Amino acid sequence: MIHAKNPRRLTLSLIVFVLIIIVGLITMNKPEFSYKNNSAQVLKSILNKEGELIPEKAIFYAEENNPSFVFVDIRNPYEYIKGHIPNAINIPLTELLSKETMKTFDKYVRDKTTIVIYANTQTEANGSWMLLKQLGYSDIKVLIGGFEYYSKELKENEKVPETPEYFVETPKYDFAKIAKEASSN
Amino acid sequence: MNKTYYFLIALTFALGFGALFLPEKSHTKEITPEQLFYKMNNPSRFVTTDQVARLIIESDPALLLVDARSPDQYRLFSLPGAMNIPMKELVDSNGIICSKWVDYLDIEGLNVIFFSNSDVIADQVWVICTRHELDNLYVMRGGLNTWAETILKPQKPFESSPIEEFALYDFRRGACQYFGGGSISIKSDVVADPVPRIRRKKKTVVAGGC
Repeated sequence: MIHAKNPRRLTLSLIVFVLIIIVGLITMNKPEFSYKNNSAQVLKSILNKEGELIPEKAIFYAEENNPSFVFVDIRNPYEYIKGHIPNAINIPLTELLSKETMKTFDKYVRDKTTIVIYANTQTEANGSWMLLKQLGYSDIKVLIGGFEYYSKELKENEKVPETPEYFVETPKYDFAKIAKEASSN
Repeated sequence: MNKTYYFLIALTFALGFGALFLPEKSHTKEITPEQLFYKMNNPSRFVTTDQVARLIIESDPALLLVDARSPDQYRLFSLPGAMNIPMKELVDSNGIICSKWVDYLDIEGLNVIFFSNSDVIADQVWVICTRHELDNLYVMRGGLNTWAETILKPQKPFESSPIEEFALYDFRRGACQYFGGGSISIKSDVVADPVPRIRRKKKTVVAGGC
């Protein structure tokens, strides 16, 4: 037998082989991000609307500089410079999953600060909000109406109609009626 | 037999035994959060109401419109040919998209367009479906509210508007007629003349002969 002549080399190579496997097992399957919440949990938090922040409250929190809320502007820096919620921090959407962002967010989680994500509209911020929700951030909200409504509200300061404009999912029209009108014209 | 063989056998067994205790991987089809993030940032997931109108008029066979609102709202009004997948009933208790919906959504080559009254609910459905490895999903920007404003009630552009605006307006007016039932008013006094009927005279059989 060949290896019988050199048993020491065989043991050495065996040890190396085992080491490689152990190292492989340890480093294997460690993705940087993983889902902590499944879709049923996410859907539940969407339906009970716990993750929504209405603009009136947002204005109130921002003006009194409430330390338990931090506004995160996910628009690009140019839009942020043009105008943003007071004391908001800017994390452009493309930087959302970067290491620094995660560090910042983890700090807020430790301080029990509520993170409020916003962009120009709610739809624009919706994806980021849902992604962070799925990654396990529980104390995270999205500004409904977005910055468009927020900045408009500040200027006009009018009386809010019965169903505020920022509940964009309420039908604005009687669609069936309009469709009928369209056919009669 | 050599001792090393015993050792090798023991080692293989040990490793095989260890494999038994590896954490069980979930069998749900999901994309990674990074992939979801990448897809989320792609602005082409939004389509305009004009694009949707054009696809419906052309009766694109690869189009599936999905109304993500409640069944009550769906019954009152929806887009022609749209199916209803209420967001509430999208996933089961394990967080997996119900198989009755997957049968519709997971067809190769099919483009699925989600819509709701605005685009928030449609976008939420989009995020959930995209996480579960469904492809070719889109969101109608502005939803039915914008649909009503652009297609059902098109606004005439200003005189100074660029020509493209007028072309778009013409398209929308045509689309409006298409979706409204297409009753283009026809003046009643123009009645086509009755087509005169000319009857052929019967051929008389030649009398006589041999």
